[in-house]
Amino acid sequence: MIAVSHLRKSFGGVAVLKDVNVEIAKGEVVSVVGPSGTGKSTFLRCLNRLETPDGGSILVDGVDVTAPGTDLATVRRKMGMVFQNFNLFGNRDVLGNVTAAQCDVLGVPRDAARRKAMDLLERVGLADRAEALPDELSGGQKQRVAIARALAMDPEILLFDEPTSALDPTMVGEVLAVIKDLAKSRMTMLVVTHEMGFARDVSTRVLYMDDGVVYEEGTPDEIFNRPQKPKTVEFVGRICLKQARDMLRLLREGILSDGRVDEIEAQMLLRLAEPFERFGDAKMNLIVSALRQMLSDGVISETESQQISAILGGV
Amino acid sequence: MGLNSGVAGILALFFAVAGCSREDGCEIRTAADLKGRHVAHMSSDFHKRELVALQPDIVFDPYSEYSFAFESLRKGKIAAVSIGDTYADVWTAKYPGEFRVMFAYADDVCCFLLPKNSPLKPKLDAELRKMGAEGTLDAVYHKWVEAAKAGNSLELPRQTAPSGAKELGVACAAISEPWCMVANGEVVGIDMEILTLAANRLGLRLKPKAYSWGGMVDCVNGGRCDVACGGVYTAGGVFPTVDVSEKYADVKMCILVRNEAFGGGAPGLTAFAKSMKASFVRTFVTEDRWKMLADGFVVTLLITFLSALLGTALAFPVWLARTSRVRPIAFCAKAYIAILQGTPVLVLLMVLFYVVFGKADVDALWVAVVGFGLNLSAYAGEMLRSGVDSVPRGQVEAALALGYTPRLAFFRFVLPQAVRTVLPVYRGELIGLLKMTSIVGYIAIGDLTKASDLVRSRTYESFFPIITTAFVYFAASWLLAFAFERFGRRLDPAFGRGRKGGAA
Ligand SMILES: Nc1ncnc2c1ncn2[C@@H]1O[C@H](COP(=O)(O)OP(=O)(O)OP(=O)(O)O)[C@@H](O)[C@H]1O
Ligand SMILES: [Mg+2]
Repeated sequence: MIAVSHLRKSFGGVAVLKDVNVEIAKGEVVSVVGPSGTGKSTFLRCLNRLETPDGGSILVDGVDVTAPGTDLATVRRKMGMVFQNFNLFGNRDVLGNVTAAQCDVLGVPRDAARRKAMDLLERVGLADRAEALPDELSGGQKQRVAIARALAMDPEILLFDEPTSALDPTMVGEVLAVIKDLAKSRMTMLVVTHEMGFARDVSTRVLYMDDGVVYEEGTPDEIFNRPQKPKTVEFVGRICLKQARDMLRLLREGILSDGRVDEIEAQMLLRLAEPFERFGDAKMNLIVSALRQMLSDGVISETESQQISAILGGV
Repeated sequence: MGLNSGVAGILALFFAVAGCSREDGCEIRTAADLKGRHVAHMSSDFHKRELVALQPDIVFDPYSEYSFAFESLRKGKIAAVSIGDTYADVWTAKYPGEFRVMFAYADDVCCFLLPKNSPLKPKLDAELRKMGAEGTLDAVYHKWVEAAKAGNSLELPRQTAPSGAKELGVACAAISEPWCMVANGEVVGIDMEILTLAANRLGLRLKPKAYSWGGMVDCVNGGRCDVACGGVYTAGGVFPTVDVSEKYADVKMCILVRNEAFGGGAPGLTAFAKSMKASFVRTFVTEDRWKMLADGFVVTLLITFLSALLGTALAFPVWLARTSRVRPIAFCAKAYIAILQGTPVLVLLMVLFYVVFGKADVDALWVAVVGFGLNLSAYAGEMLRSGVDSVPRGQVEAALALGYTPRLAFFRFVLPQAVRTVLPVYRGELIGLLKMTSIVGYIAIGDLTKASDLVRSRTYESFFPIITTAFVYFAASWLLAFAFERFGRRLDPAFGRGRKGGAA
């Protein structure tokens, strides 16, 4: 559906994208990972022409959208985009954010746009906040509205640029759940993310970008468990370390300050703990299996949760 | 100037109300008694030299308007007024027993002012000499003085020149009864009658315009009129840059003081109420003066409204130019903003009135609208810029990503949020504009402040005109603020969902 070849882009003499070659088929969920500043955002923004590429071609359904004279609005309508900072329209309520482009760009009648918007809000679990203003929503809710807003245009592909990076850890889950749900319904998606667990669970393919090129690509298993090239190995290791640090920070900052683990906390900890399983660390395995056990029981008893806390406290 | 006289009036009022009478309780009999005392004089016609020769230790208080000097003298704020005998006659007759002329100390003459080297001067002089010889000048003088003493006004003689005839533009300082004042919406008085007679003989059509004193002087200096008048005493030689006509009246400068023997009638509440009522009637009812004030208010509103429209409309191009990527354009816009923000509007008005539109026959009202409009455009343009900058760039990208054109994204999302951000500042700017229009009297526009000046110059009382003017400005500002409150709420995205405020 999308074929990118020899894509180049530089900013003021600095080559950010040197030679990017990617093909994305319908129904694929492609995660893009890589160190900061390697042009992941730039790549996404070139796709929907928020940036003008310096060279190369981007074929969307066989049409080169980098050709001069291309109707940008048409290109962009096919590609929904979800930003790190949500970018909801501050002068419209939730419903207005989701209906605006339908009415203004597609010319959908107001009533039809509203019905569709309400369906989509239902889908992201925010039908009851339709009249809220962006300022009145939590980060997770804002991002879910932004996803509904992008979906309202019936895009062929959704581009996500670090959709959970600006979120409080407690809200990452709700946004990822919506994206997972989209993946299940075979939505074509390209997701720049630092959420390794998510990339592993959801994507059909992972692109590791570095140095302005797609440095290594493969299945989630190939990239995360058996990376081949040196930079990829280093990156995956760094990610694991970072997640361990995040986990400790969470612990210290008192998610568990009440002395017990509830379900949301258990899920968060599990997500963070995931990469460590394959290192075979004993303590970590203990935590993970205890958390799994706890969640599978469906109930979290006081003693169990205190037990976990005790183990976690010792990490 | 309107604003200055307004401030002076409020100060005068303050002294009047506070009853601060620092010059009370001293009987003034001779020039020697003026030692160390405050004597008011009009900055225009003033014979300081002669007065100082009589008593070197006088404290001189310059006044911009006769009515304020009158009020101050009445309230005991000053010991005496140095003034022409014409005014002294009228005042003493109008307020019997309150004042007394102490002595006359200098001679002066009343003349018309003309731009330098005016071809009109010899013709006008010839007519004045003729009228003087016929005794017409004296007759006219006495007729108007008597009318003023009785508190009346007279009709001017008809103009006989056909309506298509060449015009004689007259700049009038119409605040000097009985020489020149506004009655029943018309500029009348000794000066006007003499000029009408002269114009009739010269086959010209008189076209008078009421300026403030300073505006009249600027006008003749700038050549914007053919002749200027308003009871101008010229022997003091204070008008070196213009030509002076033959005299049409002789006057004596004299010292007017309060009559200490005057008890001020029966004291008490009834008397006070009675005098207030009389003052009210003089200010509003006589000659339908309320109409003049009402018309003035309409003019004030009109100027405010039109210049707000113009300034706001121009804010867009100013903002576009200011944020242009073409360097020279952005630089010009920057200079435009800096100049307009850094110049007093009065100066801008004068430049427009005397230089830019100096030769063109443009109604002063439009000059004011352009002046205030340009001034507002600089501020509003900058407001728009800061408002637009305050809207996160990401929202535009989100709109573009949804297929919006940049223009549509701007009008749908950026502008409404920008406007909402700057609305309180903009509102303040418009209220400022409303009050700032009070200076337009300077270029012969009869706005509210000017109307109040003109009324005061007839009644010699500032209380009602100033209180009324202050109240009307306040009420208009309040209404404006209220309207904005309404409009601002409409712009609030939370509007109409039965909830107050934005963030919950
Ligand atoms: N508009 C721009 N002007 C100049 N430089 C830019 C611009 N946009 C991006 N860059 C530079 O290009 C490089 C790549 O930026 P990009 O945002 O694409 O990286 P990224 O991989 O998304 O990083 P991150 O993970 O931090 O989001 C960075 O060095 C950035 O400074
Ligand atoms: Mg990025």
